[in-house]
Order: sequence, then C-alpha cells, then structure tokens
Amino acid sequence: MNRLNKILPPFAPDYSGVCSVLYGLGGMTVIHGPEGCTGNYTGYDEPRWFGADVETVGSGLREIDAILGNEERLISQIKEAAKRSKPAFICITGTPIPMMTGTDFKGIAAEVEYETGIPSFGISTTGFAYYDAGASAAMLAYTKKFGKIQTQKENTIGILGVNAIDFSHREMLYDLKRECEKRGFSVTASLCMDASPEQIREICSVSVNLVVSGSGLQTAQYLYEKFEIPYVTGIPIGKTASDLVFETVKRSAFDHVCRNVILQPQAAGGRILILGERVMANSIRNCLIADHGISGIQVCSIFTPHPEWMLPGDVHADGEKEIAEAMREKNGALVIGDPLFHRLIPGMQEDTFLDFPIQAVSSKVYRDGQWNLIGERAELFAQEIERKMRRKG
Amino acid sequence: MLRIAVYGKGGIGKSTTSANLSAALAQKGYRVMQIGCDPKADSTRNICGLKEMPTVLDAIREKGSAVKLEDIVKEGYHGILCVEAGGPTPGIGCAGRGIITAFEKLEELHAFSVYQPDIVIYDVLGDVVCGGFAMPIRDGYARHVFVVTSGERMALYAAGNIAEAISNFKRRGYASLEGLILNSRNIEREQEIVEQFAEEIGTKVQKIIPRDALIQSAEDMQKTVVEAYPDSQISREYDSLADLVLKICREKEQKDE
Repeated sequence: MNRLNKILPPFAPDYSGVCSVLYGLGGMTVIHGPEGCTGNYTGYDEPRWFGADVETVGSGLREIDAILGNEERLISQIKEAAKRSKPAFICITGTPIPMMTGTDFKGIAAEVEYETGIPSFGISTTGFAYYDAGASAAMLAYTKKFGKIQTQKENTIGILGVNAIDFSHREMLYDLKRECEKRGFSVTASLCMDASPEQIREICSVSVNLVVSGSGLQTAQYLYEKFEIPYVTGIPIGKTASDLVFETVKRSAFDHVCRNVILQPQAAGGRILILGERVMANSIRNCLIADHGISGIQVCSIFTPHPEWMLPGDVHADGEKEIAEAMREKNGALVIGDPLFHRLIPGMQEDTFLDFPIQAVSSKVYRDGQWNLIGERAELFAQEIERKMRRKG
Repeated sequence: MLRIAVYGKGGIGKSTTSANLSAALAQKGYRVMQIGCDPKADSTRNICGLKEMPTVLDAIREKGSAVKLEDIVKEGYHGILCVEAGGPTPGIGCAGRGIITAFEKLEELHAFSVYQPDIVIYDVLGDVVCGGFAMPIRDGYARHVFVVTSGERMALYAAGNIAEAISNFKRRGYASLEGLILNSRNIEREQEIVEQFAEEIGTKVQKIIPRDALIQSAEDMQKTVVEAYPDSQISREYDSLADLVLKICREKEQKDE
C-alpha cells in the first residue's frame, strides 16, 4: 500500500502524460476508459487545457462493453470522429479498466489505421503508472512513427523530455531554447512541446540531444541506438552549472559518448533535501554546488525511478509514505518540494521548507508560485535557499 | 525464432503434448523455451523435474520490481528453458490479467534477447478466451497456433472458441491457426468426429497422438515420455509431431515473407 495517498492527491497518471505530449500536434488522442479518467487530464494535469482547440477525447467506456469486450464500439466511434475532424494521427491510450480486461491497444490502432488510412498507434497505459511513463511512451511512439531518416546537421540540438507537466512554467522552455541558441546550438525540435510536427520529424537529424526529464530518456536511447545521436542528461540551471551542461553537450556532440551531468556534493546529504522529478532535482543540486558552493544535498526523486541517475545516498519515493519518511529522516534539513508535501510533517517550521510547486502533484493550486530556473534565472531561487538556510542557522 | 502457441481445454493433454514437443525439438538440437500460461503452473514440471516450479507472478509477489530472469527461468531436460506465468490468489484476482503481467515482466527483462531461443512454445489454457488468455496470440508473441483436442464435446467447444478468437484478430495480422492435434481418448468414432469438426472451422487435423500408458508412467517419474522412454513408439510419435510442426511453421513463414 506504499502508493496509498492519504494526505496528498493522486499524482498525474500515465495517460495524462500521453495526452500532454501529443497536445497540439494535430492528432486525436482517445483516452479509453470511463469519463472520469478524461476529466483528470483536462481538469487537473494539463495546464494548457482551457480554451484549447485540441482533440483529446474520452471513449466513454460502459460497464457492459468492458465485460463483453466490445472493441467494435470503440473502433466505430473513433472512425466516426476521425471522419469528422480528419486528424493527422490517432493515438489510443488506456486507463485501469481496459488494463484489467487486457485491451489490445496496438491491435485496435492497427485496425483503425487500416480502416481510416490515418497513421495510428496504441499506448497501453494503465493509470497505475505516473505521467512521466506515459509521456515517455508517447514521445517514443510518435518519434518512431514520424521521425524522418536523414543526415545529421552540425551544431543542431534536440531537447527531449519537455512536457507541459514538468515544464508547466510557461517561460521555461522559451528560456531553455534561448540558452541553447546562446551556446551556438540551433534547436531543431523540443519533444514534445512547442514544436510543430514538421520540426519533430527532423529530430533524427540533430547532432546531439539534451534530455531534460526522465520522460525523454527512452527516445534519446532510441535515437542513439538507431542513428548514433549522442545525448546528455541535465537542465542548464544556474550560470556555472549551465556552462558545465553545454561543455558536456559539446564534448558529446564531438565524441558521440552519452553523458549525465550530475555533480557529487563535497559532503554527504544532511543540509538540503530536494524532492522532485529526478533530472530537475539533480540539476538544481548541480546549480547549488557549482554556483553557490553548497554541499550536503540529497535528492529524493518521485514518479518513475531512474537508478542510473542516483548518487550514493540519494533515495527514491514511490508515494506519500516514502516522501514523508525521507522528510522525517532529514529532520533539520531544508526541504525543497511541492507545498503540499509540507502537510506531511505536522508542525514543520516555515523556514525549513521552500515551496517548489510541481504540476503533477498540486496541479494548478500553486501555479503562481512555480519557478523558472533556467540559466541565471535560478539566482533568485538560490538566494531564497541561502536566506532560508541563514535563518534556520 | 519460431513462436508457437499450443491451446486446449484444461486436462486435455496440452501440457503433455507441449512438453513432449519441446523435448523432441530440444533433442534435435534446438534451443527451446516453453512458457506455461495456466494458473496451475504445471506445464513444465515434467521437463524440469521440479515438484513446484517458481512462477513469474509468485516472484513478482515476493520480490516486486527486483525480480531477475534467473528467478523465473529454469533450465530442464536438454537445456529447455522453462517459465511458468502462474496465477493470482485462488478465489480473487484475475488469471487473464496475470498472464499479461507475466508477459510484460519477461519483456521488461528482455528474456528472448538474453536466452535467444530458436523456438518458443506457449502452452495456454484454452477454456477461457478473455483478453489475457488471448495474449499469446497477439502481436509480438506466437505466430502459429495448434489446438490440442479430443473427440469429447467440451474439448471441441474450447477448440471452437480458440479458433473464433484467432479469426477475430485476422484484421490485425496476428497468429494463424495451423491445425488440430488429436490427443486420443479412444472414444467411439473419435477421428471422424474431430476431422469433421476441423472441416467446420476451416482447418485440419495435423496429427493424431495415440493413447499410450507409457505417457502416464513417464509422468509418474516426473519426466516426459520422450526422455523416459526414448525408444518407444509413442516417443517416435512426438518426434514426428516435432518434424511436422517445424515444417508447417516454416512453410507458413516463407509464404508470409
């Protein structure tokens, strides 16, 4: 029962990650499940939803269809909707009930593609995994389906793992692209946010990829295996740490070796605990070490675990219980995390907690307080950390 | 890699057929992996000689995400790689979904690329053709299906259901039904009944396995008859079944290419 949340709301599920990645690419994403599942995505997980002209539709799965395995109804609904809106592609993704009945998403997509002539793919999300797993699967499926084989262009970069749940602060991606351009890299595409289908098709031509969240890893690995495009994992946060990220990117573009930018703190964890998505949290740590000389930082990642990006002493929390345990264990440290985590430790002092709202945890509740940490913009955030640490003593 | 599913009603002899087929193929020098897809988890018992085979679902229950391939793949007679999907807690849970979870785990652990079998045999309970038990005939799994049946009505009913499931997947380009294997029960007019049934569902009887007391005798020793009585007539029958299955599947794959 590790994943039972008694205080926190449930985190954004995998099918929300799928929809978020495919948002704005001109396709139709079908969430196969009861209506409530679609509401999770449109109502809470997708920050761009309101006023959007985007086709994410719920299949309105009925109890009797699940029992009788009535896939025909789903297929004819999709065909009908596609006839009306003529999407560029169709993605069919799942929720807990189709998972239990073993719905064959790949097969349904093959049938839909055969009958409509529209490129289609199925993603077997279950609603039991987190948004990043769905985002990762959707990014990979889209790249495999539409990526165009072509020769690599020098000094071009792909940004992998941007999705509106991890990068819900609107200016963050803009600044990230600007940082890349400033360092001499032309951004071919950012998967999958603020990029046109035409740009994404060019992703197989970049000279190097920058992986900025766990959801970009699978696509980066695929592009490396298939086209030998190297990748570097890390977000340019802070001035010196950003320099380090781009030095690494240049090295990798030159020698075709994949690298992770993870700095080892001078002293073991004890002073600061960062809770969040692994690449983001590691990159914040890099900034605090490289730009501010702060040591004793431990990262506790949440969502899908990535042991390959953990330092000795780092931990991973699968849900509320483990997040609370990590916070209790680091009693006295400054905790950086979503404001809702504060509630897990009753009586926790204000000065021992720094709000870092996470869309997948608290949705829009603290959106105004979301930080943009790209490049030198991280300075304010770091100053706030130093101020809290001074007051804490 | 040839991927073959052997379906049949519970108790009809599909595990005996699968295990002897695997043993005969292994004797011919092929690297065979047999995956039992029945909550009873007794498909590979006579190949491995273990009283209780560890199952994928039990391993997941005990170790969660720390499950390793060596926890769930055991080597048996002539190096046959044995896997049992297993089942949920009796009375609760979902056996069909259990099969899917077991397959997902094998995929996650890259079982086929690690062991690189020449032939994979899925031994599947065919009484229930829900989403889970149909998993072995979906994309990426078995390409060829053989159904074990006798001339008894319930066995034929199950065989008919399996044939229908395969036909429903036709548009998706999945596995094809390569024929029936008649596991004789010596009932009256058995061959005639099964051949007529095969014609009705658009397939044919590919092989008749005669009833033989040595099969039971070998099972009492927890062995396949191919291993226990290699020079017997029944062992030769399984050897010829292996040749026939290879020929049918290869011809089909050549045709598909």
